[in-house]
Amino acid sequence: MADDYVALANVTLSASATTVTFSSISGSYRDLVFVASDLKTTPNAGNINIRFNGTTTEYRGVRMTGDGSAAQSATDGTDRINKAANTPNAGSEMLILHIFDYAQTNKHKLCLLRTDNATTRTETAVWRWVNTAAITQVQFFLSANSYASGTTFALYGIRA
Amino acid sequence: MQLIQTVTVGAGGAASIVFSSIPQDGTDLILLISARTSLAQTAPALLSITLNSQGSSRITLKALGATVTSTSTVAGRAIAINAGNSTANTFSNTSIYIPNYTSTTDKPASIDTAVIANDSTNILIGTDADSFPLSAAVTSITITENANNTIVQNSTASLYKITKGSGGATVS
Repeated sequence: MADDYVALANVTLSASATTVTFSSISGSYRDLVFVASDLKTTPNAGNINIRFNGTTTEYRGVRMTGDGSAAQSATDGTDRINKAANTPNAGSEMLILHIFDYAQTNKHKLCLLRTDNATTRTETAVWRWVNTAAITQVQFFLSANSYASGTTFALYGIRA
Repeated sequence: MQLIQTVTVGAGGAASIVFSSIPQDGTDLILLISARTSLAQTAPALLSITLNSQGSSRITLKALGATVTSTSTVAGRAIAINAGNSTANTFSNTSIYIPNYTSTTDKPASIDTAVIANDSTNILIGTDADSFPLSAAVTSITITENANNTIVQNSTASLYKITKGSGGATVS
């Protein structure tokens, strides 16, 4: 039986990098799932940013965050998807980005972003990209710092 | 994503659910649990989860009824589940994602849990960031109730593996 959770791409950084880009993403799946693991930055300050198709407008979201002592929620409307800044190298940080109906051209795109670090916080967010275009490119980038060597990004497609 | 094994608890319940000899040819693991305990209370109970008999530290964010809290724990029990006196026929659901389970570095885990009941004060949704200090590949996973209670009949746990692809990204 064919696997309906299809591995599409994977990269483990051999050197530090500011941007990891997945381009020419096939529109053949229902959803996309990105998993980042061993996520570290140099220096140790990670406000990971995500953009679709290189666009810099119309990302709106709400996040809830627990840091081990306080629970918080916040809304955001900006030129990128991001997570609340933390110090990712303090623990073993992972990220899961699930983009629903990414190839549909009749709806805005909704995604769930989960970032977990047992030393600093757990965070769940939902973001809307206010755009009906199919997503063909996803960029993970840092504004001032770099993803450290050893950080891994993987992409999976979920068949309809 | 491929199913490795499903365990279904039979009559009489079980003290634990164990996955052993986990194949080492995947990249990530997903564990899906539907469980209830015999512990005689209505508030959510807790199971423990270990990888290779190793527990975890964690940060939890949860809403129990109308109260939202975040706590930090080193070791101890992790997964919230329906207890024995909660609404009948209700089992909690938990999803656990473990990336790079064959690596020789600490194992993070992303955990989502839901406990449902007619009693609104004992409904729970939780997200956990876990870290297992395990410098070896994961070969076993154990889900355990305490010594005086059991995981009840019809509880299930299914373990899946995901295998990564290659290439397909540019780095700059």
